[in-house]
Amino acid sequence: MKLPPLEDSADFVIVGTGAGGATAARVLSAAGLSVIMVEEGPHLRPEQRERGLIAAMGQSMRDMATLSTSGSAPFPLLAGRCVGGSTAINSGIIWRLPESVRAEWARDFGLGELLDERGLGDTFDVLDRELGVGEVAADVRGGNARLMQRGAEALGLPGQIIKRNAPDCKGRARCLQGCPDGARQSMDVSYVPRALADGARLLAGVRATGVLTEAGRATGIEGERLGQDKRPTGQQVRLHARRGVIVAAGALHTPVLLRRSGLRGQVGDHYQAHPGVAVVGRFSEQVGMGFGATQAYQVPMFDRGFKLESISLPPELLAARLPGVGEEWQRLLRNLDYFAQWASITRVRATGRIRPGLISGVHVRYEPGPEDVARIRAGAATLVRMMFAAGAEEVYPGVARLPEVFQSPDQAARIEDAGVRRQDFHLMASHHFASARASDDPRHGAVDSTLQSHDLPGLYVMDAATLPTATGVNPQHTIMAVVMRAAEKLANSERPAITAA
Amino acid sequence: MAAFAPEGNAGLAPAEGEIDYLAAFKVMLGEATPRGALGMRLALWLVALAPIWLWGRLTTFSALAIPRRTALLRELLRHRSFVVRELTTLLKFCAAMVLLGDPAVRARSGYDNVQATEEAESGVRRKLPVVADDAGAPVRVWPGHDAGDGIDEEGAESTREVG
Repeated sequence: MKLPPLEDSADFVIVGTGAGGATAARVLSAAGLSVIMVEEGPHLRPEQRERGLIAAMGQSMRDMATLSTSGSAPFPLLAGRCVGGSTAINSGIIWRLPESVRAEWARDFGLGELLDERGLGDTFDVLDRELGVGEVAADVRGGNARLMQRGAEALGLPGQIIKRNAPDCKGRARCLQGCPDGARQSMDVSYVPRALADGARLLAGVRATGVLTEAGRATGIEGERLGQDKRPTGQQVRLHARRGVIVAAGALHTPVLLRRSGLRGQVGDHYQAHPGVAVVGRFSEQVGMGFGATQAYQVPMFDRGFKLESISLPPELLAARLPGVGEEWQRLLRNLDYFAQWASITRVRATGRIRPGLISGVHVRYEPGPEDVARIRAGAATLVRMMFAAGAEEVYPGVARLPEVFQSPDQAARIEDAGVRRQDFHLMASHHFASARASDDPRHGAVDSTLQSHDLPGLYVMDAATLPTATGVNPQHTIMAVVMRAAEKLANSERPAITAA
Repeated sequence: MAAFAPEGNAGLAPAEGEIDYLAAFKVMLGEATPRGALGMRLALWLVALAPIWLWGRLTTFSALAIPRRTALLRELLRHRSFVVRELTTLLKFCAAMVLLGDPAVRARSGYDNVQATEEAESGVRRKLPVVADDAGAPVRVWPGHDAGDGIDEEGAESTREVG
């Protein structure tokens, strides 16, 4: 039976409920504007979050993390697909935009007003307060972070406790699957409910397929309702926006939706990410990765282009990272409590391109350059040295063509050898940027400093796609601050019209 | 995928029928992008026919004895070709997802600190040692490791501080 089309209207229709979309909804609905939020994924309550990774990834991770870059050596690109977007599956790490990056964006992209230093600082303060941002409490840092701190201090590296938006974290180490306590203030438990309380509406399980236009202006979106099996039910959705359409589907999918809607120009160009590598070490003492905040300690090394983090992954992913097969692998698997895992994320210079895919939904062409690979090598080598400095018995660098097991810190230098290629690393990336970047000059950006499209009035992009470059730090707070400021400006510009109406 | 951790091996060894790799693999295939699903299928064929193209033997993977399967997988995981290496790693990743996704296997893995997990479930917060306390931090030793410090597993457990 064919279901009748679903039609609705509001002042603003927002596609996506991640850091950008939820923040826009929170600001606009609080200002008295009517808002409809559209989310492709499901709305999951904390207690519905699965613990097993297969079920959890099916619930809330896009394509079960099988989306990858194209080319001869692809690597996976992670993103959330549920109410809350990637904020519902990340570790809740909070970083303010580094001043050097802010100044660069303001200068090179004409974003001085949007990124006014003092105003941006005030916005970060608001976000900190509303999301309960603070250092991970000592009692839930866990053994993985404790060892990283020991390693950093032994080498004299500039380590620090991570700040997160999880004030009541119980240390279950289940951030990736979705916090079962709702302790992490991801958008699904913070700004989405807040927007709903202010009158916003939420349509989960609806995939936006295009932006509607009329007389050269964005007037809404069309989409399709999805079933629990994630396939279209056949029900069409048309949502009309009286004042504006906000696309916040994330830096991977926003450009695809825009290009499928006929937008071109800079849309989909300049994509960047933070490729990451992980190193595992085996200790003679019990590490206890299964307890503690997923990420609690970090070593920012911005001068070298990377940041090191402790990361307590679920046992399924830790197991996959351990070397060997058969009996030798099982011997390691039976003692998972003795391993620590840390990662390096790299601020790369290379840019890529995102286009709608022919086979799958998204085609991402992105390849780190030689300078980027040197940074990746340096980050991984530093992790190995820290592992041994923390007391690791042996370290598994996870680099092809090198020994699977390092027995000495001296071996770290082998990773830094120029002969180690990009494809020798198991890269993955979870931070995505700049695929519809903001610039007051339409030759350099897809949207202007109000985050409105250069080519289609009434269309706004409010997610990581508008950040002009990679930040070098975890981007959630920056996305939220930039969107909060742009949405406040938008709300203020719309308010007189509402009063008049 | 079962060949990554064959039954009867010393260690984690899942019992016969304990793990349904096929059902889980189908779930993952269904969730993957078309390109990802293609890669997973390609990986299966690559391994299935590896005795032919890698060793020049006219047989399939499933016809090999368990130790030969293990040896073959080890070779594939270290192969000089990125494609071969990564596709085999993809299968190992799937195997790990299925294997450690099983509650009984997970329990045998030691990943979960049972005491801490129970406390977290009940809302109790637990004081773990921080760096300043390292000197007196409770220690468990890697099985078979000659710690020589007089601390045994039992003793270490009893020294835990619970707040």
